[in-house]
Amino acid sequence: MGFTQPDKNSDDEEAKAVPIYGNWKNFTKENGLPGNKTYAVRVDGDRVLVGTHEGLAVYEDGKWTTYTTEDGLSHNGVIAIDVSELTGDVWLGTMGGLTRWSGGKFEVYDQLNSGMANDLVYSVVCDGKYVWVATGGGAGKLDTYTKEWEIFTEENAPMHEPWTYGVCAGNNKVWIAAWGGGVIEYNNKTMHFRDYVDPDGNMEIDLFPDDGVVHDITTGVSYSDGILWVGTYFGLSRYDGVHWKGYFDHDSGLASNFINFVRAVGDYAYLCTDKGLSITDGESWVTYKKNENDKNGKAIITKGETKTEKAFSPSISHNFVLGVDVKDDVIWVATSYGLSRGERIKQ
Amino acid sequence: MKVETLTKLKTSIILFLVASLMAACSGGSMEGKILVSEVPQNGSFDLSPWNLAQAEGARIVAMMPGINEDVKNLTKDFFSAISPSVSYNGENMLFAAKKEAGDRWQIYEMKLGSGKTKQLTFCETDCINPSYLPINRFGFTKRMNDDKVKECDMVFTANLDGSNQQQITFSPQTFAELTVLRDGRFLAMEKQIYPEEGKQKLMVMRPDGSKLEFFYKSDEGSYVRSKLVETDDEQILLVEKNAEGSNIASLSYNLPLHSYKNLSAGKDGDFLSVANYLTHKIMVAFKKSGSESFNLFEFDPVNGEMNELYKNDKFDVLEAVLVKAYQRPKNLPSEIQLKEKAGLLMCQDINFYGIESVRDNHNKAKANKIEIIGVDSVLGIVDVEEDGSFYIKVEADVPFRIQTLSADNEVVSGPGSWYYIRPNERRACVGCHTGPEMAPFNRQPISVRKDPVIIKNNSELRLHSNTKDYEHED
Amino acid sequence: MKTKKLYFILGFIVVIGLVIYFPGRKAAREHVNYMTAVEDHPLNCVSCHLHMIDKGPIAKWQNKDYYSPYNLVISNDGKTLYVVAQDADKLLVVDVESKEVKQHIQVGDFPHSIILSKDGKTAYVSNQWADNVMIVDLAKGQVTDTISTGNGPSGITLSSDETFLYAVNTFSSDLTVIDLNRKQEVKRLPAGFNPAGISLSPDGEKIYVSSRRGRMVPYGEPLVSEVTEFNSQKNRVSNILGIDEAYMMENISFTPGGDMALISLIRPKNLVPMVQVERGWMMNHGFAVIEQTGEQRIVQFLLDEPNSYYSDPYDILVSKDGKRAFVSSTGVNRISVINLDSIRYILQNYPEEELAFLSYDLSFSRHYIERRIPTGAAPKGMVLSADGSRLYVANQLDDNIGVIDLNTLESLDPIDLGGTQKVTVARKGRQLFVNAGGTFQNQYSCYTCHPDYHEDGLVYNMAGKDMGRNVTNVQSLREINHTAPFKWNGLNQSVYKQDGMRFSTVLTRTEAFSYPDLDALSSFILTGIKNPPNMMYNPKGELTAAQLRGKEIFERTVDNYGKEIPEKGRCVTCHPAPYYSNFSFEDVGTLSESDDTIKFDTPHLNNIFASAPYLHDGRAYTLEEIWTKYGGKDKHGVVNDMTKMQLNDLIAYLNSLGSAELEAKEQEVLKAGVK
Repeated sequence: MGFTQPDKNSDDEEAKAVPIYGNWKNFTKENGLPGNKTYAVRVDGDRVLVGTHEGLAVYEDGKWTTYTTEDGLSHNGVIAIDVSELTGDVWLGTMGGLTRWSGGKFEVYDQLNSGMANDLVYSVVCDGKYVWVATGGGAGKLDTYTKEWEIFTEENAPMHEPWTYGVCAGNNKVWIAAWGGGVIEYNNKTMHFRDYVDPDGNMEIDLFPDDGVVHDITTGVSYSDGILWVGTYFGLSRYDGVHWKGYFDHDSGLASNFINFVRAVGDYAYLCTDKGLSITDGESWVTYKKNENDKNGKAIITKGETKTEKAFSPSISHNFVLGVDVKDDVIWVATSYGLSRGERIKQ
Repeated sequence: MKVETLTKLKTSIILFLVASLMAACSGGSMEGKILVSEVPQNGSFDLSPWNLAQAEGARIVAMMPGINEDVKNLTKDFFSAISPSVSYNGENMLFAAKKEAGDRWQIYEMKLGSGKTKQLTFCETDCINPSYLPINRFGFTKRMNDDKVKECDMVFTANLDGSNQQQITFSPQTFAELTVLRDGRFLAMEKQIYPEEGKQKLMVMRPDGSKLEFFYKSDEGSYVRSKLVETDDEQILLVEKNAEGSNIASLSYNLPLHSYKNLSAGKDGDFLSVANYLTHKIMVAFKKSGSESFNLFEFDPVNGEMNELYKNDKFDVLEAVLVKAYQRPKNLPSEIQLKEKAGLLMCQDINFYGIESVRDNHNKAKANKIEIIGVDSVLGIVDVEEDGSFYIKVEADVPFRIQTLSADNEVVSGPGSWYYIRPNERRACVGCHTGPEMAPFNRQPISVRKDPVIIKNNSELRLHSNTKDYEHED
Repeated sequence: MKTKKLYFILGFIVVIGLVIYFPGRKAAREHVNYMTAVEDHPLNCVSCHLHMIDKGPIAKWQNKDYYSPYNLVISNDGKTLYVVAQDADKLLVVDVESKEVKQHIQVGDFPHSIILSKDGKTAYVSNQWADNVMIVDLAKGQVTDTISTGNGPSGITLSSDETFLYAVNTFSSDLTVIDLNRKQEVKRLPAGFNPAGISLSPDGEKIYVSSRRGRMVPYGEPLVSEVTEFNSQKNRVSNILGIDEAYMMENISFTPGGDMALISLIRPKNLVPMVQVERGWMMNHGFAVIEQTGEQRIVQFLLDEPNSYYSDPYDILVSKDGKRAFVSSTGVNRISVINLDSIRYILQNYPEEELAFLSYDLSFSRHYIERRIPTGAAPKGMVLSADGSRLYVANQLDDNIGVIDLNTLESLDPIDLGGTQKVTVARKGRQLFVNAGGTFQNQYSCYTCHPDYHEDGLVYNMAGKDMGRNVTNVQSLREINHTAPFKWNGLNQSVYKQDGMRFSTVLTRTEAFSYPDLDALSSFILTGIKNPPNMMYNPKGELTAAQLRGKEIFERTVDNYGKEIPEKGRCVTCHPAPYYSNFSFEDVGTLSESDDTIKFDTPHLNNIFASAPYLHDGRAYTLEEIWTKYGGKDKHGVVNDMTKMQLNDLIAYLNSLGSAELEAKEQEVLKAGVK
């Protein structure tokens, strides 16, 4: 890992600028979703997988299909989704266990039928033959070949308690967002843990900037292109392997310090907060917010001290954003009231 | 030589001579001979298996093919003798006979070598149709009479010394011409006789009377007129008659309902019976067109050649059997326990009528109940489960039929064939009239998740009444 | 005087002999009556005390090494057969014309399948008990590479461009994808449950893998087994097909034109009370057709006839012109010849509603079965000659290759592989085990419910008394010697009794095995069935850290709070090494409403990882569930104080258990060191 600077070549300025999305289209129960509360979204080839409170909704060829516990899903509350690059299998973290969806069949792993720690699966990531989960009772690592689980709690990992909210993988490491425990890093080669905690302790303010992760109540982690992004309920952290940088809503374009979910894709981090969606490359920001009383909204573009706005009608479906995924020039945003689809537009 | 030694030597020699004499007295082997059952031609006897008991003056002779002079009447001590059945080791013969004209038919066993006979049954009614079972037992039919059901030949079995006689059929179905198949089951002709006479069928059952089921039925206008014979290559041979005449036919044991072959097409004459003979050849009782009598022929079904084996101008050949050792049939185990009073019956779905119904798109009304009907009274009405299944415990050896009813007690289907369940027997079926070729669905009937519904019976309705010469094994 | 002394000595010997003989004989009679559960078994000590010896020089002396050919392929020129000799761990190279074995090539442990490269120069052999595939240079007659796979590789196939090799892992229920350039596994894809068969479609785009076991569901729910469809371009699962009421789908073949895929299968009647055999009430046997065009329907057909069953179909092969299919039925030593044009006609012309019922109609096979060809003992894999005029079949328990002339559909002289000619008692027992002749109308064999001499994963309603009660999970027969009594209720003190008269009365419903046959069957069951090595969890006999922690938990005498665990609550009390059973009877709180009140015979736990589902009625799909779902009142060991991590460690330890001979010596029940 190393610190990366965005390329400032003006010819590629647009391409390298934080993307702006518009042409929003929103989906709710009215037009195909099984329910309005959407927790997670993942693009899988030509289809889009959406975790809702009423099951897994799949958008393909312009149509929605919903899968529920009747089809074999572990629980209708689908709150995390990942797709294995190796096998193409879809792994779903739900409120009642982990489900593998492969070839149309749902296979459930839960705390009763397997070595999984807890059925409340907040996050899931596929790392080669392993599947990692962050659950309410610890993190778990499933070897899909032997079907054996290793579970990690405060008993055998540097966590304060077993509540884990997020997990991601990259560069032969796995990071776990541990509630009250900062970020736990697992090295695949040595099979050892280390942690990254807020040097300021339990203080909610960032006493000394950029001295470590901004807060120990971490809610999500995501790794891309050498950068680990960490979401907390008190701000965002960026780590390049050497240096930490913190971001807050009062000193950056971040929509809110209350970050529900983080996804890093390429150079950009997509932050799902309780007050909108923010996208950043670490320097510039684009934040999407919906108006309180109508379905319109805006994008707030922050570059250094400069802020501009672009209006959208409609805008994203709701400001309480829980999940996001991007593929090529299309973005999907899961909110607490509906799913939004946006397309990258010229700045 | 010392005196003592000499004495011992003499004793040994005497003993040896006595033993040899005894062996000699057991008689010579009859291997290779043919036992022919024949009846005087001028009798009014209707040559049908159902009328065997009317065969007066019949006899069983032994002959060697090709040597007409060497015909020996084995049953000269009897007024009439029929139905020879040779044991699997080829050494003994069962037959039905009466010593005097007015006697009842009884079953006898003869040692073929010595001709010694032993009476095995002492029935008050006619006992005929004997057939060896695999080990130390034999089957036969006995005439039964009842207030309701008259002249019904039920099937019985007994030890070869006559002991432990057991009735094994209990419904108003009369049986004739028992054959024991290689698989150990009885194959027999059968007719329902109550409440009305039914069409003749071939039925199979286990030697304890359990699992009685349909095997074959002739087409409309035809009927089987002979004992069935099983060949080494899994064929069942029979004689079938219709208005045009009679044929030797074969059925595949594996697929009896779809394998009928006429083996004697073009033969001008009348066939009466068929029997195994040599490889690829069979024996037939046959009356050539224009002939006066049924004689015994060797018949090659492949090339149609017929060669006369035996003829007697005064007798009609009824049937024949070759004396030789056979591979004995399987000795089937029995789940019957006579101390038990009941048996169990389950059906998967009374609203399923078999593949034919799917084909023909039957649209019968839905049935919700079954009515279990005894000889002349209803034994019970049972609601079936949602999936159409029922599971009942019925009194053993009591005949019943089942008809299905709608919710409004209208008859939807039936009554079906007669059933009886043997003590401790467990029996199951797929649906109504689904036939012997329908395998069950692999699903657990809802009815067996509960205890069986118990059908109680008024025991005065029992069919059999001749209890004197019929004992239960304790 | 001397004569008197001689008479005295002789007399004394006679008296002593009589004293020993009569009571001795009486004791022997009682002993034999007890062990055989009959009263007239010959007093033949050798039956048990020689033929049941499974270790040591005597066992070695009385057993012979057989080849047991399993699968085979033929060279492109049709001149050479390559035969997997499963019991010899060898590949036999057979000259077709001279009928001689030209070469023995040593391969891995318990080889299963073989395929050839398109140019015929390379063979690939899966070694089921070694968890690898070997690449064999046929010119050199040597193994050149060994590539690790998942657990229990069986069926194998190449991608159409031969860049990938696919190996079905039967024990781990997945598919290994091997990059042949890198000569290593690159991914593993889920593939049903206990799969074995694999076939690449003629257009090279699709791979089917067929499962041998059905999905685990509560008893009473429909049985469905899976065919997993893979996209061979992307090497991913593309679809899962459910085959209703079927399992044991051993092999698959596509027609050359690609219009159909055919799969051999068995249709068990495990949900139906086992009250009769006639009319197909125990097992039916057949094949499925998966249409590759149009609606891609799945239609099943039977091989059976109303009074004759074609048990344990194994291989299915299609003729080169696509007009016939051949199915080897291991249980009845027959190959059925199927007219595929008749099948096509039926599929095109029969209404949908009727197609669904064809697999219940025992007489329907008359429409497409052309012939039944007798084979040697236990026919398994088949291959067609290069010109399609001959069919070769591995007669597994005759150690020969059957040859069939496909013009006349008659058997020719087989090719003897040159192995031992003597049929030992155990070998005879194996032949009996695999042959359906011991059941009424050949409807099934021991092997049908105990495939691989193990278990089929199903729960049955044996209906010994009432229907619907006492459902039980099939038990494995691997290494059960020294683990008497038998059956879940432990009522059978010997295999003799298990397979004797009562067995024939309520299960096989035909004549019981003769005593010599029962001797042989028992000998095979008790001495001839080995556990595969535990390659997945304990390949080298060295426990991992988690397994060691689990062993401590297994042996613990105090709980997490320091309280002494009563002896009955300690795992090790009822499950001591080396068999992990004390052979006593216990109530572990698992009786259901439909069970009679009994105590269960404590099962042994060797290779327990391979025996899902668990508990007497198969209600626990995984080992975890034994305690997480069904261990609530600490009646099956004291477990409720454990953390999930501890339970995981315990499971890890249980998964590591292998054959008894690899385990520690018998251990005493440990005492709690509570002060």
